[in-house]
Formats: sequence, C-alpha cells, structure tokens
Amino acid sequence: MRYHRVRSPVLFRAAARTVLLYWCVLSLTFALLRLAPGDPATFLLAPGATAADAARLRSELGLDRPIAVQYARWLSATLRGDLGASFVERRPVAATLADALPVSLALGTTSLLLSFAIGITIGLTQAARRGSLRDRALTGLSVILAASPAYWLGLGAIACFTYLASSLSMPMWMRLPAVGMSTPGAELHGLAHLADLARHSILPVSLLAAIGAAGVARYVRTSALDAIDADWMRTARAKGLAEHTVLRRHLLANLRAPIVTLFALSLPGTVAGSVFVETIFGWPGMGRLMVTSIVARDYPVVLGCAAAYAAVVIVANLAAEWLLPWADPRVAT
Amino acid sequence: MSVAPELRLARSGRLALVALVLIALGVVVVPLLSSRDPLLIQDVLARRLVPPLARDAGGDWHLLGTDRFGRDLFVRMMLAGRLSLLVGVVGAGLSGAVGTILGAVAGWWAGGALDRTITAAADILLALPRLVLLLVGVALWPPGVVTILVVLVLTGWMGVARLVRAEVRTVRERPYVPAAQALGATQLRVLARHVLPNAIGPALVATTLGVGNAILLESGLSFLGLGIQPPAPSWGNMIAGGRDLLVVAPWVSLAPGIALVVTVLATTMLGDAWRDRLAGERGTTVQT
Repeated sequence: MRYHRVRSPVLFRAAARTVLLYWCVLSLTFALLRLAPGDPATFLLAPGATAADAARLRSELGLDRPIAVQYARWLSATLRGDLGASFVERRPVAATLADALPVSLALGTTSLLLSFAIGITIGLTQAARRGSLRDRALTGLSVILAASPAYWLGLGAIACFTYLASSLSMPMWMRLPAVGMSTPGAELHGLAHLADLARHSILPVSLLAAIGAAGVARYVRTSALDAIDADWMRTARAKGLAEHTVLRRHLLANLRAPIVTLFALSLPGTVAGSVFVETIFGWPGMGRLMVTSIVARDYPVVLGCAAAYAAVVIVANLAAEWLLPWADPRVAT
Repeated sequence: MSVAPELRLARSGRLALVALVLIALGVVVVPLLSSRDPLLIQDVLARRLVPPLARDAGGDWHLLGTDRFGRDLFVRMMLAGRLSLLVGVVGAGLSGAVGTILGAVAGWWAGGALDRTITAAADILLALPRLVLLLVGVALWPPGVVTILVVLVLTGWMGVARLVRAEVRTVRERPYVPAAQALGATQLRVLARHVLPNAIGPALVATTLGVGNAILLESGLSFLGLGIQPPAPSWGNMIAGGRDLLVVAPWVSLAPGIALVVTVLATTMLGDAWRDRLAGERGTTVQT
C-alpha cells in the first residue's frame, strides 16, 4: 500500500506532462497551418468563383474569424472529442480517420513485428560469427537498405514482380499486384477476400519489413557485440550449454532493454516509411491521407492526422518507459 | 605525413571519403562541360527515351540515356546532385550547429529556465514524426531550396542538442574547468574554449550521419512533388519522373536512384568509420 502512496504523485505528474506535451504538439501544428501564407478557400473554390463566393466559403468554414477565436473554437471542440469536418469532403474528420487508421495500423504493425523477428534473428547470427563472410555480407546489405529510399525500392519491386514477371510470363503466383488493397471490381467474400488482401499486401509489407529488419539487425548486432565477451557469457558456455541456448537465453535476455527502446523509437520511422509505401502502392492509409490533405490545405484533416501520429509516438514512448523495468530489472522505476 | 594507426579512419571510411570527393567533383564539373542545356527541351520526338550507351536520332551519344523530354540523364543527374549535396551538407550542418549551441547552453546551465525551455521544445518536436513536420512545413510555404533548408534545420537540431547537452554536463565536471575559471575566464569563454572542444565529437559524427538523412528527406519530398520543382532536377523528382515509365524506360528512375543510394551510403560509411575512431580514442562505445 505504501508503495502506491509513494508512486501516485509520480504517475500523476507523468500523466500531466503527457497531456501538456500532447496539447503543445497539437497547438504547434495548428499554428504552423494558420501561419502559412495563402488562403485555403482559394484552393477549394472552382476557377470561376467570385470574391463573394470566397468570402461566403471563408465565413462558412470559420476562416474569417481572428486566429485566437479560431484556436479557442478548435480547442474546445477537440476537448469535446469533435475533430470537425473536412473542408474538401465535408465529412467528419473522425470518420475519415476511422477509414484510414486501420489500414496504416495493419500495415505498420505487421511489418514492424516482421522486421523485429527477422532483424533480431539476423543480428544475433551475425554477432555469433563476427567478421565471417556471412556477417560482412549481411552488414553490407543492411547498410545499403538503410541508404535506399523506400519509394525507390518500391518502384523497383513493382518493376520486377509486376511488370517483369508478367512480361517473362512467370507463374501466376509470382506476379504480384502493384496497386491497391484488393482486386478492383471483384466481389470477394470470406477466405477469397482475405487471400486477395494477402496477395496485395506482399509487396508493401515485405518492403517495409525488409527496411525495418535492416535497421534492427544492425542495432542488435552492435548491442550483442557489446555483451558477447561478458563474463556471464563465458560462465554460461562453461556450464556446457549449447551455443544457441547461450544466445537465446542469456544474450537475448540482456538485449531486451535496448530492443524495447528501439521498438518505441522505430514507430515514427514506420510512419515515415508508410507515407511513401502507401503513396507508391496506392493504399488508402494515414500516410496518403496526410499528403493529400496537406496539399489540399484541408486543415481539419491535417490536424486530425497529426493528432493521431502524436498519440502513437507519445503512447509508444510511455509504453517503452513502463516496459523498461520489466525488460531490465536493474532499471529503477 | 604519418598518422598513428588508431587515428586513421577504417578502410571503409577512407573509401567513402574518396567516393564523396569524386561525386562532389562530378556534380560540379560535368554540367559545366556539357554542351547542351540540361533544362532545355527540344526535338523531343528524336531524342526522347534513348536507352543508356546509345545515340539519339540527332547523333548525340548518351551515357545514361535520355528522359521523356529528350534531356540527357547523366548531365541532369549531376546537376541534381549539386542540389542534393547542398541541401544535405548545409541542412545537416546548420542543424548540427543549432543543436550544438542549444545543447551546450542547456548543458552548461542545466536545470535553469533556458535548459527547461530547450528541452521542452525538443520534446514537443520529437513527439511528431519528423516527416509529418516536414510535410506540413514544405507543403504550406512556397516550395524551394530555402524552404526545405529552413524546415530541415527546424526539425533536425534535437538529436544533436541532446547529445551535446549530455556531453557538456559530463565535461563540466572535469578539473580543467574550475582551473580555467580560477584563472578568470568568463563563463562563455570556458564553455566555448574548454568545454565544447571536448564535448563536440559525438555531435560531429551525428551531423555527418545526418547528411545522408537530409539528402534522403529532400529526395522524398521532391518525389512527392513538394520539394524541388521541375524543371529543376533533383534525384527525387527525377525518380518520380520515371515512375510511369517503369516498363518502357526503367533507366529513367534507376540512374538517379543509384546516385542517391551511393551518396547516402558514402556519408553513412564515413560517419560510422568516424564514430568507430572516436570510440577507439575514448575506449568506449559512442552513442549517436
């Protein structure tokens, strides 16, 4: 009980800090949007519109009020959970986000989990045989992947698996669809629908996973090399444990903390990757929504996207903070 | 000149340095030597989409072929490289400088109001993915190199600031700091002349690694149509220009992409080698 009494002010202060941080991020985005030169109304109107049309649209969208009033209105609406309506589609932002967020979350989490599973395995096998030909080849590959822009690799994948595969009349399973989440016009249900979705996911997911795995592998390799000559590793080997047990049980347990930290840090990177991958492969997710709404100056949608992104980053950082004592009991809470 | 072996860069680092010097030379010299204007479009039907190592209908030879408007890809690629290298080096360098100054101030007066303000600003900017901030900044202000640079610096100083802040706080405790103060040196002088030179190593490495990152970000923005605007070439908008030509003329996207990857790869290898050397000097691992 006493433990809880001591902890609660700390937790309260952490929560207050988080809320304050979130409010600052959203206000910053609001300020950036409203301080930008140019009038969003001019982007929305048809070419033949008159000045009166523009004025009417501005007052309709509330853009004719002083910035302070707009900010107060936006803040009070946001606090009530109302994200407003899109300037362009006149649709509630919450509904637009509800369509786009699951797409990005599915794409992001699948590829992130894959990249950690693959990256940790590769990093450990590299560290176990440091300096070997395989280690050097994998290091080279991961450095090249990290230096390559996702959109360029995506175009390359489309060129190979969509165009080249069909021009060489490769077997059907090797020809992968380049655009969208499902075959257009096809009315598929149940398993057939899932299989279609899976086929469409192969290129974007493996692209994001490969780029992510390259980063994870480099990081795990470095962290593992720091620990691999430790005394407790020698003890574990001296006990007669098999090498793979030493790696999996003893080494990996000691890498838990850096891996948890990396996981939280990778989330923004996954977002960045998904902006390009969604654009290339035409997936209707958050990344594409963000780009199209910024270009169209659809302020409510941009703010909604920023709110979602900031929430993901902040929650990931908090989760890492909470998980760190579990990952490494030496870290005091 | 002989250098102590532990002070020399690893072979990969020296190789990367040579590659970067060659690329820098290439992007400066090649467009100067080219006889035709790489932005000029003329006689499109005779010259467009010539494959690499081939002659167009006018008899001109093209090392990397031509794009859809018949412009020589090699010359355009080198011209684009000027912009990319400029944005990368200036963008990362200015971010590093701003981060160093803010980090040094925050670390020297750690716990003070300035430190709290700087740390809070860094926290706020780090709570949004950098790409989101870049997109908002670049899309809303008039597109161009200056906008990109400003946005890169405003969103890129936080990492270096954190590194320098931590280093300065450690170095501040060394005995030569009170010694300098006892000799009557002002706070600013001690910070600039005694603390910073001993604290700046990791920041320089992080800035070097940031060059590649800045180049990638600029190319990404240009690919999305929000960065460098055509007809001015950038590796990003050149790749975008070949996006619908993947079947008939894959070289249009392939060549600028390879230039981009090689450049970013070289800066990364240089940064890594430098970090390893720094770690060797200090006898510890260096986090960047």
